[in-house]
Amino acid sequence: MNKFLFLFFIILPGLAWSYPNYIGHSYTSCLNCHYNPFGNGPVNDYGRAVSATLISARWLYPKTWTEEDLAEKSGFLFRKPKQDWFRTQVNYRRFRLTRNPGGKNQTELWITMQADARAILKFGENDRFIAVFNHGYAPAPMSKVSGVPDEDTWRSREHYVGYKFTPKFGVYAGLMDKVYGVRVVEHIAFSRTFPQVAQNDQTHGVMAHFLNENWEGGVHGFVGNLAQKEDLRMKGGSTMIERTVGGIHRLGFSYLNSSNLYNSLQSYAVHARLNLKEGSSVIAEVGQTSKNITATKEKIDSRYGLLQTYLRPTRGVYVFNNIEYAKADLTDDNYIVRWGPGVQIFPAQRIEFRGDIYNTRVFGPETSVPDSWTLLLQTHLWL
Amino acid sequence: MKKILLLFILIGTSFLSWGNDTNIVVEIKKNQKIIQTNFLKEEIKLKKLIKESETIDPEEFPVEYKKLNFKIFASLSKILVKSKTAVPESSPQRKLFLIYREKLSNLEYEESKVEKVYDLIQNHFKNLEDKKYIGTFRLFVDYVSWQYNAVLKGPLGEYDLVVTNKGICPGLSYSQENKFFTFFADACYLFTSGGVSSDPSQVTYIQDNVLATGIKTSIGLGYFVSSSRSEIGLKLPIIYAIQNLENPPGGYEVQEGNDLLTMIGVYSRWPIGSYFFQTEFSKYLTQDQLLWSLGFGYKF
Repeated sequence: MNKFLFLFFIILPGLAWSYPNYIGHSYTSCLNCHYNPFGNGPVNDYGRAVSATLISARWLYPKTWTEEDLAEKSGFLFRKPKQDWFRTQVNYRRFRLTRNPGGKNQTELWITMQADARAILKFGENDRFIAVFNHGYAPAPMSKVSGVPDEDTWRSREHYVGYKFTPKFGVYAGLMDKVYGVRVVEHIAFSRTFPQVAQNDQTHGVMAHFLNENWEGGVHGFVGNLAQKEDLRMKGGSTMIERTVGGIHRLGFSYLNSSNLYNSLQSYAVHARLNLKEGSSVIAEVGQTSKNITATKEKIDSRYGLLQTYLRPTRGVYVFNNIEYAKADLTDDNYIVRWGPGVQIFPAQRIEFRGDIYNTRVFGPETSVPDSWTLLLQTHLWL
Repeated sequence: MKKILLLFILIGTSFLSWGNDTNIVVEIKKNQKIIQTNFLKEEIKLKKLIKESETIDPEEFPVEYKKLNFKIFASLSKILVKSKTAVPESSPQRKLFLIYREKLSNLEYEESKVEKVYDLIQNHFKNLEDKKYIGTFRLFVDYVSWQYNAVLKGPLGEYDLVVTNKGICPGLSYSQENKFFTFFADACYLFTSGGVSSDPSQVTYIQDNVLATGIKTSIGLGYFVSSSRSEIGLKLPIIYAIQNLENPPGGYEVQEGNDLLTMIGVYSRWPIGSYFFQTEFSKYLTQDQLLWSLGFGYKF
């Protein structure tokens, strides 16, 4: 396995998950930087140049290198690609998770969250036709669900083809993330776990994307992840529509409906992404899910909220708050607020260090328990 | 280049004397007198053409006259660049400086030098303006949640409790801020309520919706990270609050601990016009507990 990983880093290279907070740099649409129009996955050549010349600091570069030099060297193996039709990327992300840091019951865990190798074929003007392959490591869930077979930890994370009929309209087919809500990097966010659009919830399907001056959106029909057993696959559809407001902000709406043999899930949300200039931004999403369990005919309605605030004190450094609300059952009075300040540092392109503190507080009429604390330290490298 | 220009201004022209502003003023007056004596016709003509926005032919004006204007311009810049305080653009000195810049621009004399000196002076005053602190008041309302430790004392021992409160905190802040930094003090009236529940395996004690009121005050410093004046900083809050939890029967007594809680925290603020949105995340210095808040406000 180690040899395999080593080969990944020698042979291949990209940026990983989506960062919707870059609306603070006036990037309203994910399509600017990602092959997937809704973000996440491989980054295109322009996105790599942006990560080198705008997002990352210059601390590790010689002073003689200009921004143009950095953009030129932002490609795989620090070179400008010699052809237009093939790109490769590699990502590695590892966490150190500390629960109750400094407390009596402190526990530590190292988790490899991501080790992806990606290949992108692209043809035509403005990458009109693309084929994206992303194979990598998916950590096994910490809590094993009884009766559900273990999934292979090394598997295709996404593979799809896409064709842009016009610069404003494209169709994509294959294994992709579901089109829903704000695709934040925090896969444990309630806004991603409640509607089941988290790190490992990719699905096979067909997705249409449109974009014009004021509107952007998509419709996604899906049949579940074909790597799963058929009775587990969540089949259905989803949509997400965003409207540009004031030329720099986005307001959006999402809807998702899916089901398998055992349960069905409906989810809807509204969101906002506000550009507060020079890298500062605010992202908010409020949503509700309704889960029906077929066997027991039980219906559970849940509600979630997400508020992310980003500030950029200097190039390469982002200070943020991750504020979340979750009410797992609307008939219950208890709810959770998770508050996570953190810092994200890009000392150079291809390197990200991130530290998050998560404080989780439970509210309820007959519940008053000490907060739980989690410290998350993360290293993310890409080529 | 800036250093050379600064040197140029400080040295002045060959006949400008070194010394304090008085000498420079004397020099300016001397040159103005020479113009009045020897180039009065040209002076009147130039002023008239500028006033009437007429086309000016620089060739119609003698080089000596242009040189004298340039010397006065250089002398004025020497006075202005030495200013340690932000002189407003409406002040007589800066107005006069702009007049001579306009004259030299129309005379097409040493235009490049004139513009560079002009930029330098403008930047000098912009830097002074940026560093100038001004007082600012803000009104705000925070939604706040805070916890603290209490102890339930009973015949069989002591049991740790955690009290969780939530509510609002309307208040006022005053800050001294410039383009880069802010130093502030704020205070708000804590109007919250909450409850407590013991570990049921030890003893059952539940209280809910108990009023907790008091004052939360802080001092802090912040840094503006963008031109939109989004800010981030550190603050040292203190809470003085009173919450009377009921003593359960059977010889039990609840001790709420110290009414005064000190904290250290981080805050951030995003202005939207005159309004703003703010967050705070503060950890107690003496307890393993936390206060967080998010709120809206108005800047005067």
